Amino acid sequence: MRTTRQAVLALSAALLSQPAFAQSDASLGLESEVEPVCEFTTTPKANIAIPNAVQTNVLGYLGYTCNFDGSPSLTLTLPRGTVLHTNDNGGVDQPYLLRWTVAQNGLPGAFVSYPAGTSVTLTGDDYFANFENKGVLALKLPTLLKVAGTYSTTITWTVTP
Amino acid sequence: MNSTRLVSTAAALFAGASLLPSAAVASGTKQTMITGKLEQMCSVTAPGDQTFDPTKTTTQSVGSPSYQCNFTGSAKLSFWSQNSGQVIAPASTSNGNVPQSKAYTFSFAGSNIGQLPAAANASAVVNRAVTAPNTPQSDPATIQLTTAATIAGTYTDTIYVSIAP
Repeated sequence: MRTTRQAVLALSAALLSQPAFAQSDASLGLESEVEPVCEFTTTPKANIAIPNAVQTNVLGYLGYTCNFDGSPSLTLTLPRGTVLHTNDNGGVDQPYLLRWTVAQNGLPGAFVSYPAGTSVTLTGDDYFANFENKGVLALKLPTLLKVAGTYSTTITWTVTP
Repeated sequence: MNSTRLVSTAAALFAGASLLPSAAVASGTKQTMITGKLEQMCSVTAPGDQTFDPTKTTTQSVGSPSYQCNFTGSAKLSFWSQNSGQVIAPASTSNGNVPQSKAYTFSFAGSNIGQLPAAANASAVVNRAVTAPNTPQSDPATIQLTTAATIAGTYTDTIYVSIAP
């Protein structure tokens, strides 16, 4: 009979240890965040040809929009600096001047030049969220091209929140 | 008797999961390529008026045209003559009102071109190496009369030169 009693006791213990379903309250918190985003919303053409003339060449509008109030970070990357380069005739560099009329710290809206290996980070204008900050991007040759060839440069802009 | 508290267990289950996305930064990058082209160009400058001795059949200098190009490579110089490679003295009382002409051969940069043609589109062409961009170069030009003039008069011709890349 000992066995039976033990078995009965074990069963009772098992029954007691099973969780009983009771009324309870619980809460589930929800929270989400919209990422800060900046993007260029107006850009010049990807490829632009300019004449050999000492004149202001308007490349087009360059504008960015961020989804927050504040100042984004703008990086201008010029591996060769503000220079048009050709590999023809032994390789020739032709300096140029660049201007973006959006007022920035370090890019005052006047024509400027930069040395080779430039990666200039500027502080963007303190603007309203979802409001485009746009200005004219222009390039000027201070002197004419003198050596024959096809010259080129790539200007890279990055905007980061 | 122990009992398991459902509420505490449920809270533990939910508290372990995070519903907040990790903070991310989205940026934009744009590129614009700017190109400019300068075509190959050359220019040539002829020497001023030259004098020669029409009674001699030796080689005589007629100056050195100067030329330059905005590239390194080769340029074509073309020559032609108003009188088809002849010096001509017009009719006058000195020659019995009979025009006198003497043919000559033309050389440039040591190359004998022969008698020059009259038309630009049939001109004699000489190729010259351009050793540096925008740097003047010059080469000597000479003439040699085939036969000497023996009748008095003023013998003239105009030699034209053009250059192209």
